[in-house]
Amino acid sequence: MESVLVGVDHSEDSARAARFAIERAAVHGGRVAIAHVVYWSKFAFPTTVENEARPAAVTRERERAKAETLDPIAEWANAEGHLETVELVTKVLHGRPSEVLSDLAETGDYDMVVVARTGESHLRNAIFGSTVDRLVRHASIPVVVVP
Amino acid sequence: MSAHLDLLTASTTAAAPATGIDGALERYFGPFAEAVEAVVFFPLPLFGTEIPIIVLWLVALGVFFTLWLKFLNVRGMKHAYDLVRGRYTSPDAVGEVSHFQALATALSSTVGLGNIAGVAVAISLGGPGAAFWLIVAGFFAMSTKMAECFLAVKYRRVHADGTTSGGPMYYLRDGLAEIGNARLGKILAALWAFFMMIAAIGTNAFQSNQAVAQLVEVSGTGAFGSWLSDNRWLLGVILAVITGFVIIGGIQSLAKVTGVLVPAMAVIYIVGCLIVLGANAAAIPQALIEIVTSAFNPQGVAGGVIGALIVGFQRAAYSNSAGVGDAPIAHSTVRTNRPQTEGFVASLEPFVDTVIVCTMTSLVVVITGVWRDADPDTVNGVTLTSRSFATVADWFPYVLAIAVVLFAFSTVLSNTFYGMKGFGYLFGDRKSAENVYKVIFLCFTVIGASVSLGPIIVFTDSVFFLPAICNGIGLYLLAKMIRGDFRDYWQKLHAGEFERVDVKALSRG
Repeated sequence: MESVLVGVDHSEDSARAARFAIERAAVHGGRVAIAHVVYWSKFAFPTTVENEARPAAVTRERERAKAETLDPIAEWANAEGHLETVELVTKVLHGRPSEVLSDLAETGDYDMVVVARTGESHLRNAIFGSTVDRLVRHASIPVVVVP
Repeated sequence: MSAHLDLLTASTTAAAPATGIDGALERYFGPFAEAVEAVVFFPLPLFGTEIPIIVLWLVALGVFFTLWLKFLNVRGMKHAYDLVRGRYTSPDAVGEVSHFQALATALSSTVGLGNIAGVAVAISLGGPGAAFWLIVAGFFAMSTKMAECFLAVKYRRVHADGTTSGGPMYYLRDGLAEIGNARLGKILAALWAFFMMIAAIGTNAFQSNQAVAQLVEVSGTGAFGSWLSDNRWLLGVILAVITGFVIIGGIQSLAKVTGVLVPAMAVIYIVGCLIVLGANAAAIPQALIEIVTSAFNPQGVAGGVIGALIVGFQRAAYSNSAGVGDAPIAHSTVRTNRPQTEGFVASLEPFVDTVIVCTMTSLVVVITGVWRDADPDTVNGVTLTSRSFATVADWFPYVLAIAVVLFAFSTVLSNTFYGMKGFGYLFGDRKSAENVYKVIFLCFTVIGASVSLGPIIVFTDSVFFLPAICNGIGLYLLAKMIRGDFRDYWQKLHAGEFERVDVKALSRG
C-alpha cells in the first residue's frame, strides 16, 4: 500500500495539493499523512515577553493549524467519501518546513512527498530559498510538486 | 569624598554647566543619587584602600559558588554547549522555548553598554590591569549565574496554560520555606521584588544616558551637535516615547525588530573588534602582557593592585549582573524537565558577556592606546571605545552609535519586563497601577538622558545592587541544596541516564 506525505501551510494552494494526494490515493487505496509545519527555529532570538507567552502560543499555533487547514481537508475527504479507501492522518509539527519534511521523508514510512509549488510567502523563505526548492534538493524520496 | 567615589565620579563628562531643562534635572537628581549611593556603597577599609561593600558581596558570592560547586562552571562548559545545541532536547520540547532561545534572550539584555562602556571606564580608571580583574570576575560570576538560574527553573510556577512564572521571588519564598525559613523567605522575596522595581529604573537611566552620550559624540561639534548636546532631554523624550509604544502601547513588533537587530549588532561589534585587532596584530602580545602585568603591578592607579581590582570587579558585576537576580527571570521560561540544565546554560552567559566580549573590548582599548591620552575627566565610557575604533576606521563610531542605541533600547525593554515582574509579584495584575510604574520608568529615561554620567552611574550602580543583597542571602541559605542537586545531575549525566539526540536530527531542528 502506497504511503504519501503531504506538506501543507495556510495557503489554498497547499490545500489543493492535499486534495490531489487524497484523490490519487483514493483510486488505488493508500495512506496519506498531512503535516502542517509551523515555522520555528531553536536558534531564534525571542524577546522576554515572547518567551513568557511561548507555551500558550504553541498551543494556539497547533489549534489554528488544525482548525484552518487540517480539519477542513479531513472534512472534505470525508464528504467526498474518500475516507473509505484512504487512511488519513494529520499532524502539526514545529521547525523549518523543508527540514522537517525531509526528516519525515527519511524515516522510510513514506513513498513520496507532495507539496504545493507556492505557499504562504514568508520573508525567511524569500531570503533563504523556498521550502519546495530546498525540499527537492534534500529529500531522499520523490517529491511531487503540485502547481 | 571617599576614594571609590573619586573613582566613580572621575568618569563624569566635564561639560560646561548644563542649563535649561538639562540643568534643572541635574540639580535635583544629583543630591538624590548621592544619598542612595552613600548607603549601598558604604566603603569598607581593606589593605589600605576602600572597597565598596556591594562589590565585595558579589565577588564573594562568585568565589564561594565556584569553590562550593568545585569549578562546575569549567567542568560543565562542554555539557552546557551541548545543551545549547539541543543535544538533550526531547522531541516534545520542539516548538517551545529552547535552551538557546532562553540564553539568547538573557544575553541580549546583558550584552550592551557594560561591555562597551564599562570596560573603557574600568581601563581609564584602573589601567589595563582592571581588564584582567574584570575577566577574572566574569569567570567567578559564571557560578553565581549557574546557581540562581537553576533555582529559578526549579521553583518556577507552572500555570494551567503551560506558561510559567519564575525568578528570585519564587525561589526565595518557596525554596527557603522548604528548608524551614518560610518567614525569612517571604520577606526576602518581597524585598527583592521591590528592589528589582527600583533597579530596573536605575539601569534604564544609565542606558539612556550612555546612548544619548554616544549620539551627541558622533553628531560632532557643529551647530547641530552642540544644539543636541544642550538639549539631551529631547533625545531622552524620543527614547521614552518609543519605549512607551512598546511597554504601554503594547506594540511588540518594535521589540521583535530589536530582538533581530541586537544580535546582528553584536556580531558587527565583534567583527569591528577583530578588524581593529587585525590592523594592530603585531601589538596583541604586548597588549596581553600589559593587561596581565599591570593587573599585579599597576602604574599610577589609585589604590594600586586593589584599586585596579575593585574597578575591574565592579564593572564586571555591572556588565553581567550575576547575583542580582534579574537574568533568572529570563532563564526560567525555558522548556525543560531538569532545572539543572538551565544552570549549565546560564553559566555561559557571563562567559560570553564578560569573558569573551569584554576581552575583545579591552584589547581594542589597550592596543590603540587611546586610554593613555584620555583625560578621565572629559571622556566617558562609550566615547573612549568609540575613539579606539576611530583610530582604524573613522566611520566606525557611527556604527557604534547605532549599536549602542539598540543595545540600550533592548536592555531598557528587558528591564521594564524585570521591573514589572517585581511589581506583579507585589501588587498582582492591576492595570492602572502598572501604568503608574511604567510612566515613572519612562521619566527616568528622560532624566538619564539629561543628567551627566557622574550622578547617573552613582545612582544606577547603587540601586542595581540592592536586589543582590536579598538574592545573595537566599543563595547562601540554599547552597547545600544547590550542590546536592547538581551533584545528583552530574552523576546521572555520566551514568548515561539522559537521552542524547543524534547530531543529524539536530542540524535539522
